[in-house]
Amino acid sequence: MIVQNETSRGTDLDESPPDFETTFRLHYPRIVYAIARVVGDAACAEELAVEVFWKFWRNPRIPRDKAGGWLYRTAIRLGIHELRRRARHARYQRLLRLAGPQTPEEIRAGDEKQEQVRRVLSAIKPRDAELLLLQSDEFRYEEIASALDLNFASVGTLVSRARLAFRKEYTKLYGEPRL
Amino acid sequence: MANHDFENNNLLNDRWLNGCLESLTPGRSVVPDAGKALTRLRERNRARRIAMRRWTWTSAGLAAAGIAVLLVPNARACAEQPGACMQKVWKTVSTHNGVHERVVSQSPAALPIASHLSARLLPAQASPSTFRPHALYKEIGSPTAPITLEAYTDYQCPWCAVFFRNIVPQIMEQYVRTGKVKFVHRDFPLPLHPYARLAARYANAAGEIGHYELVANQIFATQDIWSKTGGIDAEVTKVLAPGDMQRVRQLVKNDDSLDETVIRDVAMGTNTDHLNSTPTVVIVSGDAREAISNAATLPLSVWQSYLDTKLAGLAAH
Repeated sequence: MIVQNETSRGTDLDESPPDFETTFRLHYPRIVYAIARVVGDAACAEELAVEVFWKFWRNPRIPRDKAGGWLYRTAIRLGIHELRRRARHARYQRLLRLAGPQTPEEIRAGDEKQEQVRRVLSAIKPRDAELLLLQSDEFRYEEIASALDLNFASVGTLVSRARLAFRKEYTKLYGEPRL
Repeated sequence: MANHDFENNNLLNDRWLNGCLESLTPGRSVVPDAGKALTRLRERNRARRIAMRRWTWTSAGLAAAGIAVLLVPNARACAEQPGACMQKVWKTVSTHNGVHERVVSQSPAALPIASHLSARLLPAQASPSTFRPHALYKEIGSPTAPITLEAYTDYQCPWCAVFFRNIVPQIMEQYVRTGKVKFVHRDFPLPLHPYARLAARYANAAGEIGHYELVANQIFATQDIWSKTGGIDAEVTKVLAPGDMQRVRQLVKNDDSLDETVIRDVAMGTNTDHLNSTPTVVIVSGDAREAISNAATLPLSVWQSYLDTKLAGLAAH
């Protein structure tokens, strides 16, 4: 999934745009899809994708040859942060009784599988969620290790632990899954 | 058999989890618009640049205000400080354990008047010829006088004006004109006085055409007027003939050597006499140099008694 030997990134969009723009055009759709997958909201995904590229543009220390991995990891991370932020917001609303009774639409959405999975992803450790999302995006172990700065040898173990953590959290929230 | 069940269970679990994560795949509603996003990034960058520019200008403004705040109390301190315009001089001193520390010089105003008469005796650090000012018009009195008074002043220093108004005329009358003392005027413009150097240029330019004393006295006498606006020219015009004034203006405008005499005096005051305030008078007799700071605070009677004692001692010797 990671594009190797990518074009180098420019420091200024107006002054030396080709490098950055090429990288941008190459990765932007994938980044939006990756975030949309996590947050389930196209508009929010585009918003966060712009944020990802802004960070990329402003940070000169990102290695040029690892732009793809860095962008993908940051995108997933921002997506997970957004999920966690929403979960926190919902929790506070409940605590402060700001939210009225749930609408039928909300109840139905809560029962949907996607919503359940997102809730579980926002509850487990961010690193576990990142591992699961990258793996489900068909990243190879060496690519996951590169994107998350992990030791290649330990990726398998970490993924197994992340799967267990996911299952455990799901069981805690929704009961034993029907396998 | 149990092992087989465990593997089967794991496989089912993996399949279930993969199904969970695959359910997240976005529908066809997600249509990324790269062009729009790129425009947003450019706008964001432009906004950041504007913010940066504002920040830079604000910082520069604040820095300028800070410097002004630091300088204004200094300027005020000139008028408020009894006896001298201070120039803060950072000196490096060695402490007992060999560590070098930077200390700011103390105000000489804190010293009692009596201590001025036992002022620090500076060893002669250069041959007498080095002590001659660059411009001879700054020397008044007999070249063979046993004592030389070297007065370091700043034309914008209020205490220098007091010294020139109250003390100098009497010393001129009683000691300089009678050949007992030679008087040397040295320029020591302090950085906190913006017009002091210009005033020194006018006085030195007048010196070049033979009117040094007249113009120097006029500049000190009208200090209150020109020190607010820098209008030295208008005050000097009052005491010079139009032709002379024209020549002074030409010299002030074009003659670079006028600054050289000031630079030499400042170097002399800094390196040899270690000045940190004006007015300071250095009394030279033979090879000895005694620096008396806060010269304006000493009453005339103290000056007279001091000079008389000094002259008597030299005569007896």
